[in-house]
Amino acid sequence: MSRVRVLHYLNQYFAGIGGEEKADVPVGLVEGAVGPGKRLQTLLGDSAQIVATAYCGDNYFNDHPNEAQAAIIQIARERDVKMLVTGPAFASGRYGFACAEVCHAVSTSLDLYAITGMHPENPGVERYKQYKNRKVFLFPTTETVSGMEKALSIMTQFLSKRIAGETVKPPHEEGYLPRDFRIDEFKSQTSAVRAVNMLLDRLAGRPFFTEIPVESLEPIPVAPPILDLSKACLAIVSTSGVVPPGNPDGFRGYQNTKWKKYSVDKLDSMSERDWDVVHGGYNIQFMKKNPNYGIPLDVCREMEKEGVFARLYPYYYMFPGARGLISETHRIGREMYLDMKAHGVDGVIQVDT
Amino acid sequence: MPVGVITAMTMLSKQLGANRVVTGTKIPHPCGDPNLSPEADKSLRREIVNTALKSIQTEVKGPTVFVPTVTYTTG
Repeated sequence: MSRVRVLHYLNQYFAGIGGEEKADVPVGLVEGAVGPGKRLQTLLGDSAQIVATAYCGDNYFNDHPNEAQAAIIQIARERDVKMLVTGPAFASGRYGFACAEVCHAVSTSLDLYAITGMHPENPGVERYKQYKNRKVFLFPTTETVSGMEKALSIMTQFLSKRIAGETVKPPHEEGYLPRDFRIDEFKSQTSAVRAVNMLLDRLAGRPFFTEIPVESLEPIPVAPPILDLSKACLAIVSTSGVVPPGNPDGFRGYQNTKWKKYSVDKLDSMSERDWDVVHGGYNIQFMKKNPNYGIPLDVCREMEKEGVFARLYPYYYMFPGARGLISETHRIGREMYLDMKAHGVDGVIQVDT
Repeated sequence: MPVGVITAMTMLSKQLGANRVVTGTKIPHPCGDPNLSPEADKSLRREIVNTALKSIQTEVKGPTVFVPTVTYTTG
C-alpha cells in the first residue's frame, strides 16, 4: 500500500530557521520532515509520508497572506500531497492564525483534509470557526510546547483514521474543536426518550450533554430614546416576507442572505396593491390577505397624517426571517442601519413573525 | 437608532437581546387579529404600533417588554 503523501507547514522557529529575527522570511521549502515533523513522521509510521515541509515567517505571513498562501498551495500541488498538517502552534497568535489560514486555503484549493493544533484561546481558533470548512480540523493543545507529544499524538490518531478511510465522528469522539455543523444521524432512542432522560439527569444533578448548544450572544447596546417624536422620521422593518408580486428579487423561503427595501410611497395601506409573501416558517395565509399585519402601513399613514411623527420613510425594509443565521442577520441589520441612517431615519418599527 | 420590535415571540426576542420588545397578537399576524371586524382589527393594530412608538421614546436599561393595552381580541 502506498504511503499517503503529507505536507507539513511550520513557522520559521519550528522549521529551525531562527527566532523572532527571522519572522520576515518568505515561504521556503525543505525536503521531508523537519523539527516536530520528525516526531510526527515517526508516529505516522508507514501509513503516511511527510514528503516536504513548507515554512514561513510569522510576520511575512501576516504581511503577505495572499502570496504566502499561493506559494504554499503551489508547493502542495507540485508535491501531489493528499493531506496537510500545520503547526501545532500552541499559544503563538500569529502562527496559529497562519495555521488556520493555510489549512483553509490549501484544503479548499486542493480538496483535501487539513489538520492543525493550537491552544483553544489562540486567535487562529476564531478563524477556524468562521471558515467552517468541512475538511479542516483543529485540535486543542496546551499553551506551551510542553504539550507537543500529546498534540502530535491526537493529530496522528485522527490522520490515521482518515488514511484508513473511516468516516469522521463528532468532535467529542475525535477530539477536534467543533465547527458547529448540524449533522443528521440516526439514534436508537427517539428524541422524546432522549429529552426526558436529559431532563431526569439534569434534575438529579447528574452530568448531561445537550444535543444542540445554544449560542450565547453579546448584549445589544441600548439606543437612546427619541425625544421628540413629532420631528422624527420612522421606517418600517419586517421579517414577515411580504414582497412585490412575483418575488422579483428571488427571496428564498428559508435562509436568506440578502435584504431589500420596497416602496410604499403614495400608498395609504398595503391592501391598495397586491403583494406576495415568501417565508417558510409560518402560516402566511393571513399575511397574504392583509399584509398590514406585517407592514402596518395603514395605521402608520394615519399617524403620520395626524403628526404623531413627522415622516414615514417611503420604503419598508424586508428580510424574510426563516432560519436566518445569526452571523448573516448581524450583517444585514448593520447594512439596513447604514442605509436608514443615510436617508435620515431616526427610529424603527420592526415587525417579526 | 431605537427599534421597537413587534412580535408574538416576545420571550425569544428578549432572550436574543432586543431592547424594546412589543407583544404582537399572534405569529402569523403580529399587528392585528383577522378574527375581529375590520374596524376592531385596525384599532388593535393602531394600539400595537402606538406601543412600539411609546417604546422608542422610553429610556430602557436592557431588554424590556412593552405590552399593548388590548381591550378585545380572540387570541
